[in-house]
Order: sequence, then C-alpha cells, then structure tokens
Amino acid sequence: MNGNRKTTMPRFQRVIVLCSVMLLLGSGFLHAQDASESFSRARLDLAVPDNPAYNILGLSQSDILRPAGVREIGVLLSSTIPGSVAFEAAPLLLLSTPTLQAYKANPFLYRIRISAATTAGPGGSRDLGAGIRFTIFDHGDIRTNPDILNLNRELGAMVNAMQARCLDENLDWEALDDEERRPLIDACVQTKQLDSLRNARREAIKELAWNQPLCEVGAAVAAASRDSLYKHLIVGKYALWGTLALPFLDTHGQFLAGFRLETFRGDDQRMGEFRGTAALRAYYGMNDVKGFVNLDLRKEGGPDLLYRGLLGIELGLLNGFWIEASLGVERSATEAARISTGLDLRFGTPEIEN
Amino acid sequence: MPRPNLQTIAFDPDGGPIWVELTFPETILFCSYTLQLREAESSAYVDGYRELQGDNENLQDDNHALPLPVATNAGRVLRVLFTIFNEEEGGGKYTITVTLRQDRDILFEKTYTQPPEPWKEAHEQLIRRLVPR
Repeated sequence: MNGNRKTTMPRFQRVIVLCSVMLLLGSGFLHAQDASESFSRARLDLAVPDNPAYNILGLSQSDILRPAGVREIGVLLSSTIPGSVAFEAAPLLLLSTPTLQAYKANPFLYRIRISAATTAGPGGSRDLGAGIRFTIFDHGDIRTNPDILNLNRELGAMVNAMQARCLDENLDWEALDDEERRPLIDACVQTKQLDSLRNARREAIKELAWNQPLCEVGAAVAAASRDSLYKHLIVGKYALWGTLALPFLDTHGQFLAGFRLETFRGDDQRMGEFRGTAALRAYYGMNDVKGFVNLDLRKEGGPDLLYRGLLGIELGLLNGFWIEASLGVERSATEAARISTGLDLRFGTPEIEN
Repeated sequence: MPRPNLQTIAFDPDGGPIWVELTFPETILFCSYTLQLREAESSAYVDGYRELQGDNENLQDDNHALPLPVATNAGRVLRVLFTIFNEEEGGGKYTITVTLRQDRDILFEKTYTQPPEPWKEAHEQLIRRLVPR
C-alpha cells in the first residue's frame, strides 16, 4: 500500500481531458484538483466504449453504440481519422464522492454520461459533436450486482477471519501502532491466502483426480518352505492382475473392470491348476465418501462359475485412514447362496497439512 | 501468556452503554468489517462478540453496543478488522471512521484513509483495550 494516489493516465491525456471537461461544463464548475482526485474513483476496467458524440461524427466503425459500464472519464483517439478526439464523462460520479449506498440508491443518475467529440472536417473545418447516454440497466456494475456484492461480503468475512488469526498467532502485534501493524498483517494475510489457495487447489485436485482413467497390471508369486531354509522354498502360485478404471458422471463416478489369473499347485503338488476371476465395480460419490457395487465371476477347476455380488462403502475418515465396509452374496452352481461381510481398515501416508 | 501493553480507550464504568459506530463517508469501494471483543485476561471472546460482521453496502446499522453492564468491559480488548476491496484499474480511496461513544461523550475517534493499490484488498485494524476512567 502506498500513500500516493496512483493515476494511470499520462499527463498530457489528463490535461486534455481536464480541459475538455472544463470547457464543456464551465471552468468554474470543476477544479482541476477535484477532477484529479476523482479519476481513480469507482472504475472497473472492462472497456472504453464508443460514445454518442464520437458516433454521430461518423468516427466509429459501426453505427451501433457499444455499451459499457460507467467510468468517470473515457477518451477516444481515432487512429484512422487524424485530429479526431472524443471523450465521455459521468459528471455526477466525477464531481461527487458518493458512498456505496448512495450509488446503489441512484445508479441511473450516477451512470449518466455526457460526451463531446471533434474531428477535422473538409477544407480545414472542424466538426463538433455532443451527446448524452443513459444506462437503463447494467448487471455488470460491480457496485450494484448482488452476486458480486455477496462475493465481496463472503470474501471480506474470510479475509477478516484471516486477520484475526494473524493477530491471535502474534498477540504482540496488537500493541503496535495501527500504521506499524498494517504491513505485518498485509504480509500475514497474503501468506494465509496462499495457504488457503493451496488447500483449495489440493481439494479440487483430489476431487478431480480420484476417478480419472487409470490402467494397471500386477503380478505376484507365492512360495512356501517346509522349514526356515531358503533353499527349500517351493513356488506354489503365480498370479496376474489387470485393472482398467474409467470415469463416469463427471467427477462422481468410477467404473472398474479387472481380472485376476492364477496358476497354482493342485492337491497332487503339480503346478497347472487354474483359477480366473473377472470383476466389474462401480463407485459413486466423492473422494472421501463413495458407495460401490461389485460383481465377481470366478472360474476354477470344474465347469462351474462362482458369482459374488457386493454392496459397500468407502470412507476417508482421517488423513491417511480409510475404511471399507461391504456386504455380499456368493453363490455357485453346486452350493447354496452364502452371505459375506467385509470390513477393511486401510492406512496410507498422510497428506502434509499446511 | 503475557499480555502486551495495548493502546487504551477510557470509559466511564458507571455511564451508559458504549457504542461503536462505523461510517464510510465518501467511500464507494466495498468495505467489510468484523468486530470482536476479547476477554480481559484470556484469549476467549465475549459471547456474541466473536465476529460481528457488517459492511458499507447493506442497509443494516453499523452501530454496535458493547455488553452491559458497561463496567464488565474493563480490560477487554476491542478489535475491529476491515477488508477493503478495490476492483479498479487505477486505484481508489476509502475513508473509514470508527467512533466510540458513551452517553454524550466521544471516547475515541479515528479515521482510516488509504488509496489501496489497483485490484488489491486493503486491511485496517483498530485494536484497543477498554479501561475504566
């Protein structure tokens, strides 16, 4: 924050504008200092619009008057027609210092703009134009748009809470002069805003990333030894997995298709027995709370298939701590249906919190 | 924890209620504030005064009475935290006045006036300990 008023116009433009305004409104009506003070008041840099005076002189590329939000001063210099200049001013906004509530009470008046333009006519003559513009409604006006005001209100409450936290964390700052404390709070709030952005980004990424397309394969081998000697290890099983994950319903769903193939030793201790499983699973929810349905089809040994259906829920309870609970039904051609339940606790490396 | 020596505002413990009045004259920028009142000997906030919020846009009154009986405010810390949004390309200016009144007396008055940088927010804080006269 600096103590000097910032102006964005080069000096010569300000002089032109001030002279023009004084010419139009009467030199006794506006003091240069007042106008200078008013330049930077209440403006959103959306566009410098055409103005009626510019348009009536034929300086515009089109007969359409481009609308735009009110600003105290707008200047147009034509590059195609040398010697042409136009300006537009919102006199009430320029000459008064309204409060936000006053502006909201009478936006029509504060948005009234008058314009003047001049251009070189034929044979060295000069053409002059003057105009006035009324804004019937302007939903993009930051001072009156309820959504923008509500956004400011919410952001203001958040930033004020950050200031309070900065003070709570640095109680000795309370004893400082207001002017000494301000830069410390500014820096502290900036840090907290960055932290807050990082957290928001992390949460957004988690919500986006959890169901993105993913393909994995895995393999494993299992061996056993009749004693503790390594040389007696005998491989008993090989397995291969493959999983494909695809999103559905935007960031809310994930579809999994997978298989598992195993070959293992049978009762005769000879390798060559086979078991294969195909599985389909669908998740629905958010990263931390998801429900799922699952269907497994298993084929092993004989001609029969084993079916298993599951309904479950997966919850991220704490940072790095997950729980999965499921209830299922298993059934094969030769055996009666059997209810199965499952509860898995899973721990992962926790996220580093700010 | 050691309490820092804060700047103070003296009030009459036998007087009427203390009013904190916030005004935003000649300010078209959006100003949000949070008023807090902390207990004298702890970091706890006084019930109902943890975060009284307001701004210069709504039509609600920006006058807040401090708790009664007024003597209970002795030693308490008043915080008023402001955030001012400047959505303008070329800067802007705000004027915020904080006035504490009791009966017909003005106990304290301070005006904050700054031209915040373009597209930035500005922060102001009034922090004072209330002490009986």
